[in-house]
Amino acid sequence: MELIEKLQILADSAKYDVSCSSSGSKCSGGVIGSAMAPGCCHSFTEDGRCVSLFKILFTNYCINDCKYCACRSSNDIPRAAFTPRELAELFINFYRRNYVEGLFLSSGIIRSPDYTAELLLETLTIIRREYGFGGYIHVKAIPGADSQLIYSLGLLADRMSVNIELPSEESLKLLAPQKSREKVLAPMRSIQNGITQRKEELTLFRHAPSFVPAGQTTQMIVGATPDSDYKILRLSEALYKTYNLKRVYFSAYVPIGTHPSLPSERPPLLREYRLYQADWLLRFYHFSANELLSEEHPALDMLLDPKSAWALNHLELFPVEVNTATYETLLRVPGIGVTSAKRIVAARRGHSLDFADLKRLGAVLKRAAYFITCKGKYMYSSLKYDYSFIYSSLVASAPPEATPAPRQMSLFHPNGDDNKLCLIQ
Amino acid sequence: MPDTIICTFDSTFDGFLSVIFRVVRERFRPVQVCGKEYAQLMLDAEVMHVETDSASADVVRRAITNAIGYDGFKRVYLAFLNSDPNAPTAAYKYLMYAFKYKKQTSNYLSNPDIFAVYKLADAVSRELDRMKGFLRFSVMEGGVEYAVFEPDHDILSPITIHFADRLRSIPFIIHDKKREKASVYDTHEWFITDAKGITPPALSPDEKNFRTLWREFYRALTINERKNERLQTQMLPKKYRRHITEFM
Repeated sequence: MELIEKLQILADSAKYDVSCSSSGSKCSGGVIGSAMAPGCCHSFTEDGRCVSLFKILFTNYCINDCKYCACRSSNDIPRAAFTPRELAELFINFYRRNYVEGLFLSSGIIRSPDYTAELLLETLTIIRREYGFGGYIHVKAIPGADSQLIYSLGLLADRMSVNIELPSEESLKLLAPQKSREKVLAPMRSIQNGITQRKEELTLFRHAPSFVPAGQTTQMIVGATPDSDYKILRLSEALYKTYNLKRVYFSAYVPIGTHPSLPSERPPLLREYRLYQADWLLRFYHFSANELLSEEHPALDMLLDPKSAWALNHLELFPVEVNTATYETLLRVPGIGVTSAKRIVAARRGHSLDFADLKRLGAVLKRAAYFITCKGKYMYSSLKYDYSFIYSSLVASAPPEATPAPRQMSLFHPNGDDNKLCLIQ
Repeated sequence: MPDTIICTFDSTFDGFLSVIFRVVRERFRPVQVCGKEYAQLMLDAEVMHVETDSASADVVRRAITNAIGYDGFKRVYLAFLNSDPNAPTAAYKYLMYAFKYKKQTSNYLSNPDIFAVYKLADAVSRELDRMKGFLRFSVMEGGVEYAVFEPDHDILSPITIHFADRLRSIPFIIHDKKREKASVYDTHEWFITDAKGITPPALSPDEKNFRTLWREFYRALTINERKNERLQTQMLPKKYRRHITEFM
């Protein structure tokens, strides 16, 4: 088979893996290659996703039959496999032309998990040892492979990931019968142990071999199963805490399989976006999943970003005075992010700030104005400090794609959504 | 000395620092600091040209780092690279505050003269970060790599430093077509040279092949169900696409 055909087939199968970042790893060494700590986007596809890594499957032959996956063994699609040398050469040539920032290597399970892991190991060895590549490599840990093989992969890679795929055990049973929660978590745990072990070794001798220096990540599919946002956020919070993950990625389910237990509508892109916003609140804004959602309110508001929604439900904590509020309090104000909060804290040492100053410092006033006072003044009449006024103003300034298509309200069985629609009109 | 003075210099960063040296030493406050070609005629104004002197530039360099640290120095440098003709004047005004407030300068972000430099520097570092990804090299006969770009701001030096660290064992040339200059890296050191009318060497035989492979890979990545060209244009503006392999 021609190289170009293999490339088409295997890139097409790999595109559903979400992770694109190379961030968190700063390395420079060897004959060629370096990685920048903030990550770097090299191109953008027509769907607006960034192309940073040479994201490719080693092979799309697979012995598993996961219903949501394009490479499932029962799917009738063209199959291909690289040889380790082919893939290594192709990657180095892409890298030296600055097409990509690094390698993201994943694979279907060919023959057995151990056999697949050995092929990946050979590829990475050629890239690292023969070409002297010192840049970024992300490799998938093959579930079920021998832990010694996974450890050897980790010595050559910057980042490893195991996809948790679906948010609950029941969903896994339904759609990925060969996988189980235990099977997914086992390699995750062994990578985490490797990382801690390496940290301990570093305190003993300086040249301890580096093991997955950029940490591990995972990915789950959103919208293929009826799992709630609350469940998903609780799970990712637990993953950050217990497994020290760097990132949890969400991927809106794109209908590629036809199985009676799978939905067939358009991918829930807005929901994916809201989940990422909530994920950011967990990681950078000191929020916890229980503050954002609860058993009674398990779904994120589609009309409002999660931070505004949270603030609206806690109006008793606002408005806060920008000139005196602590950094942590400022972080919780909608429209004020990490950068602008830091700037505000620095700038108010010089003199007290008003609304025009805030705008200059980068705060988004169309959201922040409802939740703050400057030198004791509220931007609107204080009579207007109530839920319905703020809610309708925030929704009115939201981008058009966030508002749902108009529909008839129910006169006899109004639900929560209808009440909100009433407030907008 | 007349009331209004315009200081001009040779448009290099060392030249700019030499102006700062004179201004501080001789205690006068020009209304404008700019490259020779940008000096605006004003009634009553005297144009004063400052010769570049690398010794006094080094003195100012140390003084800036002492006053506002390396990050502050980098901010001034990036703001200076901005293509806005007022950038040197803004950087000069900022430095006057920086020498006065020292490490406290960042407490006065609501001062428009101080914040202006943050904005200018942000614009340059944004383009620099983008170009680190968007620059495309072609492998030429003999193994030298060659890249063309037309950046808004004068980022040739910082981008060459980035790629010298990245490609390390591969010699390369980066050509700024807008300003007609190029940087040359020979695997040990690099320098910037005039590039008027130079013609790049011929492509290596397998260059076409790898370009085709890359385009095919790029095409295969799009998920059609998620198409969003507005987002694509926002992240990768069309002005940059002329020199990017997958759009050529």
